[in-house]
Amino acid sequence: MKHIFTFCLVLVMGFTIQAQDKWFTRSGEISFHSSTPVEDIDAVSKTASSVLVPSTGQIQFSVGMKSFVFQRALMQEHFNENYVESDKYPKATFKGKIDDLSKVDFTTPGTYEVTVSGQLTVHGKMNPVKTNATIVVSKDGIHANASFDVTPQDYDIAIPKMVEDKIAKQITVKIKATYQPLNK
Amino acid sequence: MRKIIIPLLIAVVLGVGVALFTWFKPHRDVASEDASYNFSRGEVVELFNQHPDSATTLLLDQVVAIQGEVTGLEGADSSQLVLMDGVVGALIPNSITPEVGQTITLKGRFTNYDDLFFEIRLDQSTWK
Repeated sequence: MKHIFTFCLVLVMGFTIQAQDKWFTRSGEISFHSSTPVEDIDAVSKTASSVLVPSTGQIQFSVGMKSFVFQRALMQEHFNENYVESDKYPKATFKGKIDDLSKVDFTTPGTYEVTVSGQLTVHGKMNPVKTNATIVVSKDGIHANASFDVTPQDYDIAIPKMVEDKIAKQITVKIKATYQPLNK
Repeated sequence: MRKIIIPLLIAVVLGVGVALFTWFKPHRDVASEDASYNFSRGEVVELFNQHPDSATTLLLDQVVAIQGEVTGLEGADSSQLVLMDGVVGALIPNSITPEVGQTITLKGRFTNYDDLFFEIRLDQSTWK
C-alpha cells in the first residue's frame, strides 16, 4: 500500500513539474569577483529576479545595480557612482536560452550540464554571453549555477589609470538561483 | 622649529584620520533613517505603472515607507522577502517576519523597478 502511495505521489509530482509553464525566483544570487595582486574585490546581490521557461529553455534575469553589496562602503560608492553609473543605468539584465535543452529532463530529478547563451546588458551596453551552466532538478525546485567572465571595457566601463592595477581586466560573475513554479 | 613641527604633526594625524575614516567608513544604516517618501501600496504601484522611469529616478537609493497588506513571504535568513502586491522588500538579516494578511508599513531603500514581475524592490527593509 505504501509503495502504491509513493508511486502515485511520484507520478503526481512528475506531472506537476511538467505542467508548470514558468519557474521563477526573486532571490537569485549574483556575485562578482575581481582579483589582482594589489586587491581582491567581491560584491553580491541576493535579490535578482529570474524566470525560466522549461519548455523553450528561455531564461531571463534582472538585478538592481544598487543591490550589490561590497565589503567596504567606499568600494560600493565608487562602483555605483564612477563605474556602472547606477543612477543612469539602474539595472542589469540577461535574456537568453539553454542551447542544448534536449539534455535536460525537467521532470526527472538529476544534474544536467548545459550551455546557456544570450545577451547581457550592463551600463546600458549589450553584449553576447555564452557559458556552461549546471541545472539540478530536485523535489524542492530547479537549481541553476553558472560562472563566466566579463570585461568592463566591453560594457563601456572606464577604469581610471590611477586604479588600473586594483581592478582585474576580467571580472568573474557567478550566478546561483533556485526556481519555484510560477502560479500565475 | 617647534612652531612648524607641531602644526605639521597635527595636519598629518588629521590627514591619516580622514583617510582611514573614508577607507573604512561604515555601510549605510537604512533602518535608522527616516523615510524620505511615504506611500500607500496602491499609490506607489500606480506611480510606477504610469511613469516607471521618472519614478525610478525620483526614488532610487531613497528610503521609502509603503503601507500595505502582506501577501506572501519568500526565502529565509539572509534573503527573507516580504511581498505586497507589486512591492517586494528584502528584510535586514535575521528579522522577525510579519504574518501574511497583516497590514504593515514596510520601510527600505528603493533599489530598482523589476520589469520581469513589475515590482518595486526595496532592500535593508524593516517593518512595523
